[in-house]
Amino acid sequence: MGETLRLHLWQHGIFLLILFLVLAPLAFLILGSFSTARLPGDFSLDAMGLVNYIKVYSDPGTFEIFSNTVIYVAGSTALALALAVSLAWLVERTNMPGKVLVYAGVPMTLAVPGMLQAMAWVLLLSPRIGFINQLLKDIFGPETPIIDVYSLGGMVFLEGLRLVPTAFLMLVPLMRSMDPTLEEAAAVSGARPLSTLRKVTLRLLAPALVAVMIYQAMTALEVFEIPGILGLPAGIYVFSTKIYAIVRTATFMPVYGQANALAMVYLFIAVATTFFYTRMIGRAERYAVITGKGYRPRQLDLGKWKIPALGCALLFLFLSIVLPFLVFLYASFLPYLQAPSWNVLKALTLKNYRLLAEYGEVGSALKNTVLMVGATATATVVLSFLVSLVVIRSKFWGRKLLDQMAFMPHAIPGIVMGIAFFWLFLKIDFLPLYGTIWAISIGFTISFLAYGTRSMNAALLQIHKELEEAAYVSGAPPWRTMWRIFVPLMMPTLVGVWIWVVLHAVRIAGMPLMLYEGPKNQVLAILIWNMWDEGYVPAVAAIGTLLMIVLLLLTLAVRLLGFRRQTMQIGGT
Amino acid sequence: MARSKMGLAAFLLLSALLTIAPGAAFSAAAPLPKATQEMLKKLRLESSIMSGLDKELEVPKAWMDGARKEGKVRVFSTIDPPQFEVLSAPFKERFPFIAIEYNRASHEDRAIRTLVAYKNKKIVTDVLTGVGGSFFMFREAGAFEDLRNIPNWKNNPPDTSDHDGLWVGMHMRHWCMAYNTKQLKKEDVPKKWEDFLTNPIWRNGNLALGNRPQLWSLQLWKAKGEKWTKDFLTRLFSEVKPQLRREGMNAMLELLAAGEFYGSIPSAEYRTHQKVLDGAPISYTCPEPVPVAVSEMAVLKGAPNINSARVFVNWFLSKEGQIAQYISDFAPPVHKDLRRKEFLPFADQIVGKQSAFRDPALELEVQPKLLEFWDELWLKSGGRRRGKS
Repeated sequence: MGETLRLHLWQHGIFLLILFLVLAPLAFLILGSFSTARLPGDFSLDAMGLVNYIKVYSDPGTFEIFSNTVIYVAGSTALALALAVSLAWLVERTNMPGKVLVYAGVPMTLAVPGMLQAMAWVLLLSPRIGFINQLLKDIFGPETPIIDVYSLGGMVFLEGLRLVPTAFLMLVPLMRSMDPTLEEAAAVSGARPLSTLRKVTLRLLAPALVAVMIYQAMTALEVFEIPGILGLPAGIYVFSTKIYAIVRTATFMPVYGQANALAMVYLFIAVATTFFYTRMIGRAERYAVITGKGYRPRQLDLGKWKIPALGCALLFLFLSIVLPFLVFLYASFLPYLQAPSWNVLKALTLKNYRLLAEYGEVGSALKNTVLMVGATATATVVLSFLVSLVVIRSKFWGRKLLDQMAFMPHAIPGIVMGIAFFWLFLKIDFLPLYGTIWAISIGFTISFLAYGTRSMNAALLQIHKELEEAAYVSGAPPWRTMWRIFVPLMMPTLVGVWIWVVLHAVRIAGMPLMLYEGPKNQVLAILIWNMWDEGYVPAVAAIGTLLMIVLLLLTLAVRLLGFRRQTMQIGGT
Repeated sequence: MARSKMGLAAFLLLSALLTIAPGAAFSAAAPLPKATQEMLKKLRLESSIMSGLDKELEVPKAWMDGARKEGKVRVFSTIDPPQFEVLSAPFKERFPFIAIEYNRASHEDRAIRTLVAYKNKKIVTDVLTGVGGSFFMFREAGAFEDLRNIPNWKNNPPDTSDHDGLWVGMHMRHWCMAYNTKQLKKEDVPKKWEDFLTNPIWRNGNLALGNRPQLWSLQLWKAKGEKWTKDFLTRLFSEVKPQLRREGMNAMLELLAAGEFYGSIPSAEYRTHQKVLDGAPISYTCPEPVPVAVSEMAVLKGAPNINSARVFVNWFLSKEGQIAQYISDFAPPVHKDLRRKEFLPFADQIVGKQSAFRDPALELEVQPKLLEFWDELWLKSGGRRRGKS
């Protein structure tokens, strides 16, 4: 009886905790959008109204933001899908040589944080000082048209590149397990390979492609770093950067309620997209391309196009991973920013790396990052495991609601979640969380819960109830069953989720920028963002180079742990 | 013979006494910290420049007792951490019982977020510097301590501190223009502000403007009048069409060195000098009148380490603190006895020219009008809003 009571208690405890952590910030977000007080600290139910909504939505600039966001999301998703489909098709359905390079290389691009990738491309394609633009001018003369990365086109291009690996990982298994009968029939009927690809293969894949497309659009919609680095300097706003700009002013006190009001429509779009996505995934049978028949997908002979195809695939890897890394490596040895030349090579210096050692902020940001990321990953794993246990293994009355609550933050853009938690932590000032790395950690944990619980749910479903029943019959208490049976069997998933969270928490700047307060609470992503903004470019390059090396090693570890399967299911942006 | 020996001995003794006399007079005071001695050596300064330092460093006993109990002081500023290490070395030797928690912070972090936190009853730092255009909000919020009881307050020349004591000047700034020496020929270096309008070299985006008019245009307003300034700025925006940059002033220097534009306004002498020492192909010039300003240092009201903060501010305003600051980042001292050429980078561009000083009254009376005018020009020309919502 006592055991049952304890069981009920912790199930209720988990339920209430998730309910609070998901709903409380959202409640403050909604209430705050009606607050007429300038600061969250002055919030009062007596000072409420529609003034923020009127101010934000009567501004013609808001519609420009909407239009920019649509172009940015649609453009980058389309580019990413085109590239990902091509790459997946080349490695799965053709006889292109060097496939192993593409299989191994594309997921590795996940290791390069979007923020660093954007910064590297600024160094390459800034209108006047971009290395590529300077080279073009040197070769073709000063009147040569330049490529301006500070543009919507630049944002689309870069976000498009960034979205490819996830789409690729989602598409590869689909391509691999497609029934080839229809393609063979087309070939027998005399259809040319490209025509078969267009009329048969892609049409077979269409429903799955739509699902991947919506998932990618959701990701592009919420991403902050690329529009932040490329759009803000040119005054090109999308929803995420506009909310950031309202809150992070340099001269005047921000009006937080306006940021909340703008966040509401952003939130609505994100939730609607997620709803659409989950509905599509729910009708999974419509996308079935794997049947019970035995078959082996046919591989198209590319003939003379083999090498060009490999060249294109390698070009993608070069642009996504090699070039950003090389640019950062080069810039990290510069005394000041300058284009490559023989003279520069003579002046290269280790000063920036030495500076990192002397720079107190780097040390504290590194320590904060390790603590924050470690706590986030551990909390996400533990909380996801407990939530999944309740959802999958119990008859708790609220388990379905709990599952939905855990998934809900997936639909909320990080910057919106950040502002929602900002209000919450200011209001619950009996807990000293406001502005600390622990506030960032809690925000991230809730955001990553969706991914954690999806992975844990899948892993728990694979463990047969017999083992649990055997433990129960042998008199083992629930905690012992959990510790001795579930944990060892789920270890690859637990470790995989842990590393996945580390990889993401270390690179995302949006939410930390909303939640941190003061330089002593900076994490690496914030430090990099701030140093870039203040012009410490070679020093940023030094930090970025080291960070990329660490993340590449971690990504490699994920691959070695065989965690690819889960990433394919959920998507590992 | 004996008399001549005695005379020689007396002469030698007298000579020795005369030789060591100035040193002996100073050696009666407490010895200088090693870090300070090294600084003086590096700058080739006589230790006599520190005369009166002991007196400057005297503070009420209650402050010292309080500081001992508090054990630390938190500082938010713009100085790079390695530079702050150099700056604070003498302080650490003198006051080993006060640990300094230093953080370099952007203007947004220093001014806006600190104030947001303050309004939510969270005091995130004790000492705050460079609040600039955000000072009026701190004043409205009653967020700053009155510093007029700081003994070294009197070391600052008139108008380099707030009249109500809410901030005290920490160093001087000369906000002029930095230029790229590879791109700009000597004959094109402007001598007067009007040269930007008449010399076509500045067109086609070759000139960059930062969104900080209060650092330089305010002084032009004072020296040349409202009409001249408005006409000048209007023509600058409409005819020259400069690049309107959202970055901070340091980032603009980095871009200047890389060749993004030929000249950058406003640029301060100390940062430009640092970049020159790094080998960047840039230099500095001051068209007349030279816009001069002072940067603010304040202590938050209710700061938990208030005594340590007072001791720190007092030390900072002393000759030792001011010279330590100069040697760490080349910021010209504000101390009335140290306003000398050897503490002024690019002195040849500044000294002897007509200057215009941004005094507190100017900030209060003219700055709002200037910002309103500037914002309209800036936004019309496609610049980003300053953050006003």
